[in-house]
Amino acid sequence: MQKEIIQFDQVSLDFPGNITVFENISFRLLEGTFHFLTGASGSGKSSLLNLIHLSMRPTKGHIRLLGYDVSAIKRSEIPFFRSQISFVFQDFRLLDHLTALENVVLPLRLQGVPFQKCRLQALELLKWVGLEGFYEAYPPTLSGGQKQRIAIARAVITQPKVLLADEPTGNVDDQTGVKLLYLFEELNKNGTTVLVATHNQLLPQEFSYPQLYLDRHKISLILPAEGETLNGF
Amino acid sequence: MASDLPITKNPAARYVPWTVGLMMYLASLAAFLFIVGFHFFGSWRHDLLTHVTLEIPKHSLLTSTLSQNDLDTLILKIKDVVQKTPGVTHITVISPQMGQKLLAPLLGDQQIILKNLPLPTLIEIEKNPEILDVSILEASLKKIFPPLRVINHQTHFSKIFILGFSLEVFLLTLMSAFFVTALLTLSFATRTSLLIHKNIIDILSLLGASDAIIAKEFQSNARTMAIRGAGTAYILLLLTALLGFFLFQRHETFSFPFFFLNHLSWTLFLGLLVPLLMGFFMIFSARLSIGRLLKKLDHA
Repeated sequence: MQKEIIQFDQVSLDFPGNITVFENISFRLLEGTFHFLTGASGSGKSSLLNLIHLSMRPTKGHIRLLGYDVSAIKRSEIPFFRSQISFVFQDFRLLDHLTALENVVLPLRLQGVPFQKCRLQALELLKWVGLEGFYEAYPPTLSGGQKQRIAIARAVITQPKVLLADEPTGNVDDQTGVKLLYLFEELNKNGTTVLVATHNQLLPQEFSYPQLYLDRHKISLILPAEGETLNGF
Repeated sequence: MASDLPITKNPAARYVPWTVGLMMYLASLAAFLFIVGFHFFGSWRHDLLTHVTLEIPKHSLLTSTLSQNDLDTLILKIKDVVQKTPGVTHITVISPQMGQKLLAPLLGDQQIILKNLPLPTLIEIEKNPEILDVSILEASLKKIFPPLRVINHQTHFSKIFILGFSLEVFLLTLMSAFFVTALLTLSFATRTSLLIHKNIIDILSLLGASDAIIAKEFQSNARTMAIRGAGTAYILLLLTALLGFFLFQRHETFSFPFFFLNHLSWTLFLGLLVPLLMGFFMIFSARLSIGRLLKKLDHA
């Protein structure tokens, strides 16, 4: 039986100046599922991912991650969740002074794993994302698609339970975007829960996965087969 | 991968080890001068409080007619009175001949000048300042020999005390100022480094780095800067010691090198421990700065 890995319960998020982003949204994601997070620009896709990645705190409501209530989490407990929930950023967030290989091993190095122990794993991952031969390349010398692949390899090296991706195809061409999605799909088949935020409506059509749709501070679920929309699920 | 943060490339921190080293060096020198001052002023204080000098002038109406035998008799009489006075612990007679010997190293080969100097006969009295009343002794001695001068060094004590105390306070203030400046310099370098690398810190934090790991990176850098600073201070102190030894060795009349040798433990303490102690405080202060700043940045 699949467990709930992400659970939002009546969560609201307001920004200073009475700007409401979400209002009492509730949803649950089961372990090993793949979802798109869609909605117009400014609908709050990034904010929702940030709430899951604990980069923001809700104004109201409860969030449960990996079975724990994280609504009032202590700062010192955040690294534990971030080691289980990886994030692929639209702007890659690579360290320019490190090589591709060094960037990929970074999350493990931060957990105290010696470089030599994680080197082989990182080489395999870079090969997997199609960057064989770019191990010693520095990010500024690479294309957007290559940088995004490094970011994906870095995100999965810790074998996370959840992978969040914020517009991962936003800075790459359509063909590269689809290839990146195949990588996410492959990860999902290995058991990782994937949530991909995108404003590109073609991706949910190409990949038949359910969508969490954000609109006017509310969330709804769009199932792929029938295009059926479920509100307040 | 030695470090995941390029913090050593912080241009603001490039000269910090040398600045800190110079501060440590100056603080050590100030501390050393404080100890030297403390020793000398302590010694002077003791001498001023426990010594009275009696002077039998060479040229006075009474002494110019005295033969050597008469002078010897007079000295014996004076010694007798002094010895019977309560509170006197020791008497030393310094004859004009002995005075000449004491002055010889200062005047060099000028023996003619030395022989013609109107040196008085001096009687050095060591006393217990709490028992001996100098005015009573002076009155008794004046009855024997009116031109006798009684020099009570205790009267200079207050002036020397004020001078010594002021100098010691000044040196302590100077030492503290160098110490605080070194601390602030390192703290400033650490804080600017944290702010300059805020983006990197954010990324590391998003990848699951705890504050402790990030702080460790910066602390390690602060430690390196403090160690380099201490190394610079040691080199400067060693050069100063060698220069001092070389300069003072050329002047036999100065006993400064012997001060170094007699107070070797103090010299070593200051030379070795002051930079170490400052380095320790700097690392601790950097740790506090990092902790505070990471909380302020709050990338959660």
